[in-house]
Amino acid sequence: MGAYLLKRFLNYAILLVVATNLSWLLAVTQLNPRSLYEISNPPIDPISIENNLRSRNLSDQVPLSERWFTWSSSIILDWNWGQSPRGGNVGEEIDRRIWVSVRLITLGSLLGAGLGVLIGTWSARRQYGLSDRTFTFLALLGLSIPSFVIANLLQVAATHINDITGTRFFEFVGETGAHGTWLGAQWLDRLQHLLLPTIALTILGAAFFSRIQRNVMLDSLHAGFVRTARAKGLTRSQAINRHALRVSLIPTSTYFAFSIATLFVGAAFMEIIFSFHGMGEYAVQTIQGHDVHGAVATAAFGGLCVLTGALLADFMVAWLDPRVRSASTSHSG
Amino acid sequence: MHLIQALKPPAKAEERIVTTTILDVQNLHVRYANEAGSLHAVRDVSFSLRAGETLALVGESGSGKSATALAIMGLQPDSAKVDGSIRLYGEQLVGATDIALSTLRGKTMAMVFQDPLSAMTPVYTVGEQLVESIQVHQTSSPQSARQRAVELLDLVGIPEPHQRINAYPHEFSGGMRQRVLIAMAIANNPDVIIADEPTTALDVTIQAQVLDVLQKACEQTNAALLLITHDLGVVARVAEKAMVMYAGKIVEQGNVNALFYDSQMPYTMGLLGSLPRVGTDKSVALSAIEGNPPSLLTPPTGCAFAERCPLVDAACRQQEPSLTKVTEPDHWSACVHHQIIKRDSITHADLFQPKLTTESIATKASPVNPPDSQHAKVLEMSAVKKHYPLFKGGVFRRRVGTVYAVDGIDLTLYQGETLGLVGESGCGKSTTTLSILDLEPPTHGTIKLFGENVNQLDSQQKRLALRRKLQIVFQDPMSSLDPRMSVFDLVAEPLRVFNDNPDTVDNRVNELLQLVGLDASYLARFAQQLSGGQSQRVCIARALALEPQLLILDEPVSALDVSIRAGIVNLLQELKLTLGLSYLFVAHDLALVRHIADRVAVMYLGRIVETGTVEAVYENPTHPYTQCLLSAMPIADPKLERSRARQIPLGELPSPASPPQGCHFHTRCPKKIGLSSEQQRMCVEVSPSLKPAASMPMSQQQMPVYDKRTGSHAKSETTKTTTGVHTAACHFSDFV
Repeated sequence: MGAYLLKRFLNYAILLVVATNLSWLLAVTQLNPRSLYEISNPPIDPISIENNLRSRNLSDQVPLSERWFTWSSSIILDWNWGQSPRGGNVGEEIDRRIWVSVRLITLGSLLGAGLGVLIGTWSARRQYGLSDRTFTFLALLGLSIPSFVIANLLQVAATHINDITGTRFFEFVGETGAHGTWLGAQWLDRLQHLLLPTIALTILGAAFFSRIQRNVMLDSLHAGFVRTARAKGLTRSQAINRHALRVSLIPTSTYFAFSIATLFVGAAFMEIIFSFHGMGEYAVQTIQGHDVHGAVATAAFGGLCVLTGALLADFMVAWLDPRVRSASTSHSG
Repeated sequence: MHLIQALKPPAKAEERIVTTTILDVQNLHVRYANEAGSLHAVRDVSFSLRAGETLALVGESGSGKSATALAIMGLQPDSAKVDGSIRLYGEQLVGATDIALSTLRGKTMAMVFQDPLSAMTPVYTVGEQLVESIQVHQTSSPQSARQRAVELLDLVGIPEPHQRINAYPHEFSGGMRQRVLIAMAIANNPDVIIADEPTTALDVTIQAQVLDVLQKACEQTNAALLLITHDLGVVARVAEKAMVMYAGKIVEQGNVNALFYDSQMPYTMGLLGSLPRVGTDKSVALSAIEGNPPSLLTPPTGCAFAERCPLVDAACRQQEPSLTKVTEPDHWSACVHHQIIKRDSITHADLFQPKLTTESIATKASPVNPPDSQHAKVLEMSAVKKHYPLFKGGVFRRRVGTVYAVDGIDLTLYQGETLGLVGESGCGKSTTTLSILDLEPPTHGTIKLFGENVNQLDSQQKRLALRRKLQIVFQDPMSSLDPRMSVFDLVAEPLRVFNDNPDTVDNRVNELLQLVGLDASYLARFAQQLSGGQSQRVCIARALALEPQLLILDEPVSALDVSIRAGIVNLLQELKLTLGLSYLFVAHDLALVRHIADRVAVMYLGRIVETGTVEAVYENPTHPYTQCLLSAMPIADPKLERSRARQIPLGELPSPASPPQGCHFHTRCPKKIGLSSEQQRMCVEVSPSLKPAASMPMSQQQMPVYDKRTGSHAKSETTKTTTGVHTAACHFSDFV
């Protein structure tokens, strides 16, 4: 097993290295950090611009191969992902931002998936009924409205409620704000700030997962094993909860494992609107700010997330499905 | 005889205690609502089931037999509307709530379903599912429920039940899963077991084992059995009474003997008569029931069978006949002409005269493309092996071994001949056909088609030229027709692919449809507008489009209903003679192979264990596996079926990834037990090769060769040495 595990990781590692190098190539040819200095007022002396850029390995006057060598060797030798054009270490920035993203998306995506599974199961059992049609409509609405619209609408609503009640119950700027000194006040404040983005992420996740869960559940509702369970003497609800639901969770969990990893970079709108300075925001900022090293590091991190998600999904299936877990065999060829 | 594992014939009805009525169904109607309207699946069905009784419900697909069973269990789909009365010990089940029914399901009445794979939850172990069955109705500790589960597994013949209880359903074979489902059904000693096609998905030898277990389970619990099946052989073997269902109604019911030997309803007669039987004249075509069952969206006003009945007259179409008692005791038939049938003793032979015999076709047919030399070899496979890599693991796939799907076979097919290839699923039959169609070199050995070595096909032209001469008809006609293409496009497609003259395509398609017995009105139809038999006719027309010489028929009728099969078989026989085709006929139905084939090859785990002319192999089966197959095959003749001793192979088919050493069959061979230890070692260590069946005199082994032009068994001077030799791969075939 160990050898195959290693082989799989090695494949992924090679893929990631190739992808990172290609994104570096794209970034150095498309982004122009020099322009950041050239537009400054009063103008900066070209020589000191050049020195600045050179010191950060960003000068387009240095041959490409030399820049590549400096960039890659500093990653390999010092795990140093380089400097942004304005100074500041890319690695340190990402280290901090990852945890912001984690705090932002964990609660929302778990709640979204959980709620989605509940709604999907509920509507599948009442296929074409009023509640199924209502949930289908709401889910399609949630999927078709862009996430930034949802986030903004929530903010508008929250402001209204705050105004009406005259409180500041809903907080939606940043991760923390002013809070009391009593025990737990700091945590409450964080939760208040998390509330709106979590609601937004839950709506999005629930809309997506309710559709998936509904479809998978419809398949397993009519499966032979549910009929067998009822023939044993289980009531319809017991048969569905013990047998159909358990089987339908296999594909849904796989989707979930995959989606949570991609959310790290994919929640950019949420981060920007709610002023969470996480990875998604960073991805946008680095590209806008001609930050070659920042953009490349973000791309590498995104790649890592996707591959981790894929691996996680594989493990999830293996964990949930005995047909895969134990010696499953298949032909090919 | 000491080698033969003789099984006890089922207890006769008189010997059983037949007293109380357990289940009483009166005027049952089931209607399904769907897009096209209301489908009246079950129409006015009434019957009762008494303790310990075995009642068979026979019918073709769509006749309403499964709908009846599901309605009794209260497991019909939500879209179904059930009317009438179903009483279990007097308690009305129609209209009862799910909660009320769930206290009866599994406890008083239990059900065994058809497909053992989908009938078990894949994520729970066999033990968990069995324990659940017990604990739903009994308050027992987990330990004692588990103990009971082990006992049940032991009862249904699962080896090492203590270990196997922790296995998942996918780790069991189909037969084993069906045993587990039977164990679940009897977990709470029910009074009625409803078995819906319990052996249809299983191989014939496994079917024999499972039927045995089912009968034993019913005896142990003294449960009444309602057996739903389409297989008249199974009915003959198991049931005491039977009901024949057609288009949602019971058309005949009575004791099994009365039903089989003194059928009163023309449909029953036709059904029984359309079966190919061992011991009948092969040259007589099967008598087919014409047409298709009516659609139940618009139930017929008269007799539902009128459109297909040879006895039909105006009276039949006026009013639907109801069941009338025709003979004592309790033989009922629903036919307008039941008095005439009884008075004149009308039988199958009077009603369904076979229209064609092979002789009459042969004289009618003008030989097409007479072969240059007599009995040219169409197909020659020598020492062909086809191995596949075996992968393991879901997350980390890796190769762990090899599947020896085809493991060194020799096959020769002569022009104008039908070679039957028989064996159970997983024996390599389909791999053999696919490796022929591949036109690629096999793992080992050579395949020659029309004298051309496939290993040496160097140009695309040669390959295409060969491809034209070689076509296949698949098992499931529905899934082998593209649903988005009309019948015309389907049949014209091969012509277009091979760039035939576009002007002639129209004519050719018409000609082909005519050839397979469909008229031009079918041209614009799509696959979903065709019945199973019609779809298979389209598949045959498509296969014939390019005038092939060799047709591979991979279970061409096994997906079709019994009454439809005979028509397709007759069509294939006729086409072979009129077009001079050669057939490689792959099937598991031994009676059918006997009817259609000239020679037969029996396959087991990738090897051919016995081959010879049909007459030689069926009359004198030499390899123990062939003997087992023939003995396990149910025969639609109750007296014969119940009186014969059975020889059933032990255990399960080993995996083709790890075939046993020596003779592949030695792990299951019922003959091996009777051999000396020295001889047994030979079975285990030495792989037997095909050698002439020694129990026959040598002179008889050289059987006459089938001559396509005269349609008779003529002695041929040139080829008698090889074509008909009866050989078997068993060290001790002459050991009695």
